[in-house]
Amino acid sequence: MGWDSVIIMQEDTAFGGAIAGLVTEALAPNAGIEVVDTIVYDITTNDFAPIFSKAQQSGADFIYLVSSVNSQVVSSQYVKLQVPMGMTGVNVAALGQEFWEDTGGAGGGISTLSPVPSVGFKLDPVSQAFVDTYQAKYDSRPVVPHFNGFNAYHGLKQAMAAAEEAGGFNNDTWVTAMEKQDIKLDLEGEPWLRYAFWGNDEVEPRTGRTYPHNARFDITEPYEDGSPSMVVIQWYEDGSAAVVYPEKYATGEFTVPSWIKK
Amino acid sequence: MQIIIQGLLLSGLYALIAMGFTLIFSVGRVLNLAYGAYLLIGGYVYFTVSQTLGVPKVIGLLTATLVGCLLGLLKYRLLVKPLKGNHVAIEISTLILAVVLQAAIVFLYGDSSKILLPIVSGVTQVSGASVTYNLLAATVASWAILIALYVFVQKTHVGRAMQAVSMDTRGAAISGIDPDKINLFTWGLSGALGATAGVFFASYTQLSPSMWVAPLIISVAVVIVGGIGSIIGTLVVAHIVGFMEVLAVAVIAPELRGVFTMLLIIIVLVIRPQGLFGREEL
Repeated sequence: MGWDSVIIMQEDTAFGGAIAGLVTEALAPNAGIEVVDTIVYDITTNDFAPIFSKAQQSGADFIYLVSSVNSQVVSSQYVKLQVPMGMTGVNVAALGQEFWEDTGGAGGGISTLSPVPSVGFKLDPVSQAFVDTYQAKYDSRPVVPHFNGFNAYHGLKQAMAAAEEAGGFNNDTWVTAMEKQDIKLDLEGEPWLRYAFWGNDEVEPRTGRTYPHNARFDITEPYEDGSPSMVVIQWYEDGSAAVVYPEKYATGEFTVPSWIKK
Repeated sequence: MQIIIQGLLLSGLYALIAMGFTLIFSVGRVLNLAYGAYLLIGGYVYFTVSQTLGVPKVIGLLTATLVGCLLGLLKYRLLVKPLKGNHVAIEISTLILAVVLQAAIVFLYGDSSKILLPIVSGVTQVSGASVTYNLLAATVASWAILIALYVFVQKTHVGRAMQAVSMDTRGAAISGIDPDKINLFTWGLSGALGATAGVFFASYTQLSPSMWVAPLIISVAVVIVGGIGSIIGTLVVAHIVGFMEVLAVAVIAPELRGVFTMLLIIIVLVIRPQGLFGREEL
């Protein structure tokens, strides 16, 4: 892309502040990208035109959006205003299958960091069976469970399996049994998704930190654990969506919106 | 330059939003706190007719305007007239009506925001500012409606009757004007203007059950700061509010966007309670 500088557009929430801090202090320096400014906006904002103008004036190469509340509004205005600079980031509305409908079709070009599984993926057989059962029972929104729905489903199955092994949900034996839980899901013969947990003293090699009892993630290529912590997905202007990063999981290519001069 | 362009466009929209509220306040002398509900209903009617059912946009816009007009007429007949000029009761009941309509929208459409597609598609960049044809159309429509309204009020018999009622209801009645009919007409006109503004406002921002609140605040600000209703005063103060908001976002901080409008209301109430333009005729 040749992008060297970024302006952060961050909603005024604890989540927004935390992610913006992570980007400013860790991700951007790591990627050699300069953060030229951070714009904090109220979550009730419904007119983003002056904010996008401010972002354009900053001279940054692209916008990093951090939005969890009503992010279909900022997304659709980015499209309707045809803001002439790229935008990616963390955009929670774009993680749901209803995003296209919720933006009235004004969501093409939006990309977001995404936990897995989410939109843009083919699902493994176990997760697909969960979706089929869910859809047979419910016809209301969300039409497909959001990523946390999958996490909750597999997590509950693990909790119940641990309880059976431990003889109930008591603090001692159940916790020990839960620590050993390890669901491995394959897709087309490849490790795809893993629900396991970091040990108490286990150090994640890349960050050098411990994550006791957190779900395992793998941020080191070639992601052999089958647990990418995050991927990037993008909605295209025809309403389809794909994973665009990392390459191992990509089902499409990242493209800037058609109105941006390349 | 970006500030000037965005300020002009936003102010045009605000003028359109505030006009219907100003009319009621001038002629009926009541704060119609359900005014924002016209915008709410207008936006959702357009969404249903044009975006959901796929009916042409012009018909969707006209339907929204007609429904707004009908709502205004019903509100006058069923709520305002029976309360016989009890301003406090009217203000409380109109506020409650707005909340009830919001609940009805939540029941019918859910509480999540919906995105209304532009009435006029397209966008162009002018001096680094994104100018959507939709907002440009809203601004042009706003100016056209305000000019037409000004001419109507100044040049037609009904318009002059509206002026007479706004100045002195009893005096107007003595001279043969039926204040009830003029009030009914004004409430219908206000509803139509509000619903039309609602379609443009929602297509510029978003559709949500609580979208009636912000336009109501803008309208109250315009009436308080401008003084009891004049079309010219509405236009001027809408521009003051619009430019203040754009400046606050561009120069100070986006979170403070609406704060200066609130402060302006308080300052005007304390220093010049009759408003910047005082009590004017329509």
